[in-house]
Amino acid sequence: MPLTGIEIFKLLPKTNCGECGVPTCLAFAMSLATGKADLSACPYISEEAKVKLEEASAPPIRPVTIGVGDRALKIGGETVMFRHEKRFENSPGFAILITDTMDESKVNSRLEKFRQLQYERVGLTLRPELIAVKDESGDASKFESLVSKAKQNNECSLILMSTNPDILVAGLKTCAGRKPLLYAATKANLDGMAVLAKENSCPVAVKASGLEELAELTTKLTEAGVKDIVLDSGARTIRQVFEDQVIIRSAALNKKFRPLGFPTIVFPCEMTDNPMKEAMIASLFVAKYGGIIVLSDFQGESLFPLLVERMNIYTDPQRPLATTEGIYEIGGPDENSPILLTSNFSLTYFIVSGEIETSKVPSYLLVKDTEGLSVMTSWAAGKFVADTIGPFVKKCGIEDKVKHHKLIIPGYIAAESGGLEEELAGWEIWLAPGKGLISQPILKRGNHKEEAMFLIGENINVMSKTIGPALKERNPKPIQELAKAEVVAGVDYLDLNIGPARKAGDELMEWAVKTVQEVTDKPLSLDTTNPVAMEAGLKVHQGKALINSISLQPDRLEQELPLVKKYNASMIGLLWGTEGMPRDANERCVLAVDLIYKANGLGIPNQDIWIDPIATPVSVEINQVTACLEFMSMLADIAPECKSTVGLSNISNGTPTHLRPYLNRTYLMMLMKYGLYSAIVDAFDSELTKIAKGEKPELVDLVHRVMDGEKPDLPSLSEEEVKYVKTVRVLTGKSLYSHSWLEI
Amino acid sequence: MTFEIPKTSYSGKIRETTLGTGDKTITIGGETAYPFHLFEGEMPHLPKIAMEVWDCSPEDWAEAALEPFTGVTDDPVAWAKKCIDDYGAEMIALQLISTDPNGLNRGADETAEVVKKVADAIDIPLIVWGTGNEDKDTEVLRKVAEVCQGKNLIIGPVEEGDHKRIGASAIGYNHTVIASTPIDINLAKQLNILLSNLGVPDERLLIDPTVSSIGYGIEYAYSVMERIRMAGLTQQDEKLQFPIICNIAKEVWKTKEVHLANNELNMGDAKKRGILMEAMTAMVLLLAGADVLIMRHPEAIKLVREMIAELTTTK
Repeated sequence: MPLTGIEIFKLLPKTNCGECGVPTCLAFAMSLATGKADLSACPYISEEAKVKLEEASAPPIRPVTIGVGDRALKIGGETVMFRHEKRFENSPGFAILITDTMDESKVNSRLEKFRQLQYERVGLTLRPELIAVKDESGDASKFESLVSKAKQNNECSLILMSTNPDILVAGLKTCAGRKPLLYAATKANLDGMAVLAKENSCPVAVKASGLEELAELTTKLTEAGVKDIVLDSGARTIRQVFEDQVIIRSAALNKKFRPLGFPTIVFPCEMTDNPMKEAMIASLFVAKYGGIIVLSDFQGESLFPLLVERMNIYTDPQRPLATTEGIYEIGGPDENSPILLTSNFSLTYFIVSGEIETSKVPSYLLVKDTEGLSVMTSWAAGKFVADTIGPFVKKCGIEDKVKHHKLIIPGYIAAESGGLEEELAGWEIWLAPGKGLISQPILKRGNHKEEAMFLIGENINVMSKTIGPALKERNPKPIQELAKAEVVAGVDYLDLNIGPARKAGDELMEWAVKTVQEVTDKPLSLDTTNPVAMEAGLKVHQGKALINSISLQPDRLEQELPLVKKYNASMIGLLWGTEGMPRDANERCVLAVDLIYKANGLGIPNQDIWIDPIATPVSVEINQVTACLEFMSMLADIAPECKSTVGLSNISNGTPTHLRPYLNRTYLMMLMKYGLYSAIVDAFDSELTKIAKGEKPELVDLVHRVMDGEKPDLPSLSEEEVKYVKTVRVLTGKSLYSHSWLEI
Repeated sequence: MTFEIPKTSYSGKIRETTLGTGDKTITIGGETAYPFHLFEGEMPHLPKIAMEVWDCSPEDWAEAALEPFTGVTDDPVAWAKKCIDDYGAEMIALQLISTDPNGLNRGADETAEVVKKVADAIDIPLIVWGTGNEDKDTEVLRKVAEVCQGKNLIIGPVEEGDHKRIGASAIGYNHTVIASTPIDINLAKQLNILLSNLGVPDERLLIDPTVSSIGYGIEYAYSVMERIRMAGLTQQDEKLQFPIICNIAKEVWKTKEVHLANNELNMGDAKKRGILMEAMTAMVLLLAGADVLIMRHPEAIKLVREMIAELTTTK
């Protein structure tokens, strides 16, 4: 226990000379008590007072340093029994054991593990610190060469283990400058070890049989001038070692018993032959007062948990670990990946980043400096609010990394979403559901890329009662009106379906492209089976056009595939083969591979190929509906980077008009599960657009859960949700389609 | 050199609580010193381990955790029996995962039937753990308490928001309650007071301080538990002299690290890693004062039992 200012004052000269830099002796005493001044600043202090003061101000458990430089291990210096009383100061070192009777290969493997087993966590590197080199042969030269080998690793501190001082001398020859810990002084060799420790200025461990003998030996060493001591009570049973650790700590702190006021060393490696149990014993001494923990061997499965346990226990309770502010990229995100926001309280960071990793959805995690406070606490303290989050998001650089502007914030700070939308103009703020920090469904949604899901409006179609005549009469108005309306409705591409256009198709397509592009800068999807018309459209199209579509029929391939390259367009690759419609998912795969191979051969990159697996009406053949889904789940594997699209409305062909949206929307959500990139849709189904643009996460999640086999409790769902659940069952083939499927 | 062992002066004792009914009741608590400080006081009843059983088939468990329960995970009764017959479980903790309103959302009646079946099939104490959704837990746990009258179940989590209704049922049907608070000693004490005021007998209450895995902020629970023990044993705080229960299995086995493959990120053998993460988490919490641990992997449990035995072996 340190002295109070008044107690120190009594030992000072009380002359108020001021030469120490402080006007009065009392003020100086106060500065000493708080550690702001050093005793040597007083020129007039008596020797007697100096000894007393130094003794009193010495820490109750001496800090001991093993090794030199950045990698030196500091242990001891502890001031409390329980971490909440203040904090634990110096975390214990982990040592791996090698002996001079071990096979060389075993030694090499342990040294390699020491080097290799390191872990990054909250910006820290968790790693072991020590290599314990043990003399078992009794042969000084063998020991010396093993020490030489161990010391080649510059990033470790060393423990030299032998009870024979002569052998330790041999080891010290090569590494005295590294200040290894000498293990161990015993009753039998105490004098020799004291000399060795002093000559080489190395810390020395004392091994006794019991605490009384331990105290006697340390007293003798201290008297001999050795200061840096590490304690081993000699016990090797779990109960006794545990009790010794507690008693040593308590004697030093509560009784100020100097002979035990040193850090300890424990040997799980000598307490069991079972590596798992050895790890358990080590975990016990991480929490309860071990200074150095010597393990026989390191294994990733045991060392990692020990290192994180140690980090946890030695975290300062007053100052929780904080994570550095910034953008954390988890799982290799790209420009379409979701962006999440959280505070820089390290525990929060762990939970959120852990969930993201488990979800396997590559994401950006924005960690805002909240002074280490949790989301809730920092929000309440006004440190995690729109005013501070907005500028952070803007300046952190995330806008350069992504194409979208959607930010997922913790549900706890829902109240900030309005403010944030003002602060971050052009950004959409999404809430993680419930009170949670984040939950997996919202991330999984990100995986379906609906931020990037492209909608191709299907409405400009020669079959339409207004568009057909307008095309024929070259009347721009209805076409332009419709194009504008589709853009307002939120589509990204406009499909321009002029049909087969056998007569003067080239002239018609050229006119149609120009007409539509007069009123919008959205790119067009040119939809005709006439290759000449296609090329005419491509010639005049501004921007990157999409060719809808190229199938595997030889004449189409031959005539249209070169156009993709020539006009730097994208293409929809329709999986329609020489034998017509593929029968199942596997046939779709075969066609896709064939088509992509041929396209690549002409220099068309995968990114420009949008595979359409062909959706077929639910009322015709349900196996084709499920085959289409199954194929979608395989596409990413067989054709990475290829995009995908589907003529969505096909699914509901032949069903009652007012019910078609349920089928279209549900099928879209189902395809989203497999990462569908785009869809050709009715531009004016606003609900569908919301789904595609990620505004219906709960509904999408529900559909996906039903697909996964979950059977939701129907009475707990809304009427609308029940309809989607029923539709999923129809589209997955669980129940047979009938026009009144929603009523059953 | 004469050396006197320094001893803490204790003024309190943890309450003894008897769980279950019949021949196989288990008594916990009764400590008169800090955990395993047998040179200062007593631990008359060693900490107990309850083996976890889910009321529905787990979908996202790591392979290592599923393997010991192959063939029984879709049947809570068979699962519980396997824990007892094959792994020597001292208690069973039935996790009512299926009642989660954000999950399967199974109803109270159906769930209570499942609990009843398990309770009837085993003779060791049964812990029944809800989802933490106050409304749903109220509904489900009240029904469970009623249907299992006389079984002396240990039911929780009982939180501030639902303590009156669940507490009243527990009193009415003679069950033990788990008072659950979010890693905060003041809130823990407050809830214990509220439950006492309601009429929950002192020998029918366990504290759940809310725990996490090593690597995931276990230091918070660790220190809250040490403070609870300190208050109970050295500051005569009667409202904190209750046994502590730690629901660790779910916390450990949901971490990222137990799901990594062999040698991924230098983390060694996946199975052993999971076992050690769970066993070490248990070890740390035992040192802080846990009386009951809810655990999953039989080999982790075996390791922890060995540690408890060796820490308390007669010299």
